[in-house]
Amino acid sequence: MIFHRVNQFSRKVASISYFGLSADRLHYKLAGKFQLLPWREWGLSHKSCMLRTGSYVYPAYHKDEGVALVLTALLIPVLLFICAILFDLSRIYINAIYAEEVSLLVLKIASSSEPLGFTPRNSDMDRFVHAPAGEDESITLKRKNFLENKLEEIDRPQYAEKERLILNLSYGALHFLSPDTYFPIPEPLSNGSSAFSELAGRVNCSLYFTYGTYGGTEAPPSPFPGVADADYLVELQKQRDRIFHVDCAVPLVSSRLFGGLLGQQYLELKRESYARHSGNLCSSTVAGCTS
Amino acid sequence: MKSMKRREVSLQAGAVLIEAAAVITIFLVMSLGMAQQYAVVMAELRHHAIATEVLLGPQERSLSLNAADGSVSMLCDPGEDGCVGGVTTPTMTEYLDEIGNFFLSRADTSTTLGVRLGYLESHTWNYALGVSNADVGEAKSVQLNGQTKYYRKVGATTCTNQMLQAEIDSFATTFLTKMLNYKVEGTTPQIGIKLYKVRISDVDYQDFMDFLPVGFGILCTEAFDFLFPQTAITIFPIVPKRLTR
Repeated sequence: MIFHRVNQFSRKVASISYFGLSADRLHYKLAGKFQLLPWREWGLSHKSCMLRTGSYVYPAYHKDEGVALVLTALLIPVLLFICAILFDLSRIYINAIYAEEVSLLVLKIASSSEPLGFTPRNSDMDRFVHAPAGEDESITLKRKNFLENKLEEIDRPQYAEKERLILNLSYGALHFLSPDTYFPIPEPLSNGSSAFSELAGRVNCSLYFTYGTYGGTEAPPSPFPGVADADYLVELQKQRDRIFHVDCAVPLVSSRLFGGLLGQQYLELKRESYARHSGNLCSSTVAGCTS
Repeated sequence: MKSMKRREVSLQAGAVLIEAAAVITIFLVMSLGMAQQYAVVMAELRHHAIATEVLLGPQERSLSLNAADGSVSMLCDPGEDGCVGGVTTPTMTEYLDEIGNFFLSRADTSTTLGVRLGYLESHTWNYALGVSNADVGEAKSVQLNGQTKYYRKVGATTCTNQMLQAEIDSFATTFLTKMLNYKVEGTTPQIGIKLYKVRISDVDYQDFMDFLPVGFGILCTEAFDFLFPQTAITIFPIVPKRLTR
């Protein structure tokens, strides 16, 4: 049956030539030699065949079959790995552009003196979350706490009016440019294979800011003067520089498929933009202080 | 017969070997070519990001105001040729350094920035002509006398000043000349900076500043040499954020 199929196959390729070898000859060789090859000789070693038949051609087919099998067995994972690497590289490339675009958009929004948009309340800052449906509650909580944690890092009790407006517009832009991106990145992100599942296998991005001090611009002092302090209003009204960060965690499929071959389950892309004099720290609740 | 068959097999093996070598070479060249294109495109994207930061970053005044008579003049360095009113405040170097130093605080070591400032001179109100000032606000000439300054963190670079100078000069000249020659349906529009327009006894009086400043920047990232040396260069106009104040 196998020999019959080989015959059929070699007839099919008979209409083409292969490396200068006539197709007819190829057919003849394939068909003729397989038919001549007795069943019982399959599986014999190359050497024993040589001894028995005195020919190098027949055992070559035994050898070729084995080599082809081994090669195929080796080649499939290699091809899969190359495909996964290419997929990861494309994803990294696209998301590097995406992160850069978002950070530039934020820079433009922040540099505008009066960006038009809705200003959320301080208590609504944990709503900047886009998580997969059915996500584990503990992971969603990590996402919800993200902006609150960043607030502690910049040593401020709450976000200023313009900061809330910028974050709202920026997360809107981030979602508008790529609705499939989850945000923010659960923080802290677990190590090993858990990271991949926490990211839900998709690109996750976070957007936050720190204060810049280029050219003598002051960052908010720590501790910040209290409401009763005379310096309180002065500090609130000063223009601040802000550095807007866009961090994206890109899950690596190649690493996932091949068991942490590259050492980590995701790649972190970081982009930032410097927004000079991007607003003060005023809030509408503070009398005599407007953004 | 045997030796013929053996020769045939070795010929086939040789052909396969050559084929494999050719495929591997082509694959390598393609990979390197794609990597180079990727690197160049990413560098150019980074240029756009830096350019945007520079455009929205700190800037000095681009025109010098003579408070005594209200006239404005182009920025000038000490010893510079063609300075009508002498050294200005700020000087051209101060203007360029304000942009360049901000760039140095933000850019990576492989990138070079070149900046220069040009002007488009406009027709202003000519009191001798009275009300027949038909050309007020129209572009008169291109002024590109100032120096170009380069900012980089490293000494030796493939982005040499000589190479970038030709590029930015060509861009700036073309850009300003197009503005100078800009016409709409045979008429020449006013493109200077308007100071005022008033109507007194049915006569319109208007005046424009003498100069319209336009800056130019050139960004260059070290050559990528995966297959052949290729630099990423981006040229962009800078609209000055500040005039006389």
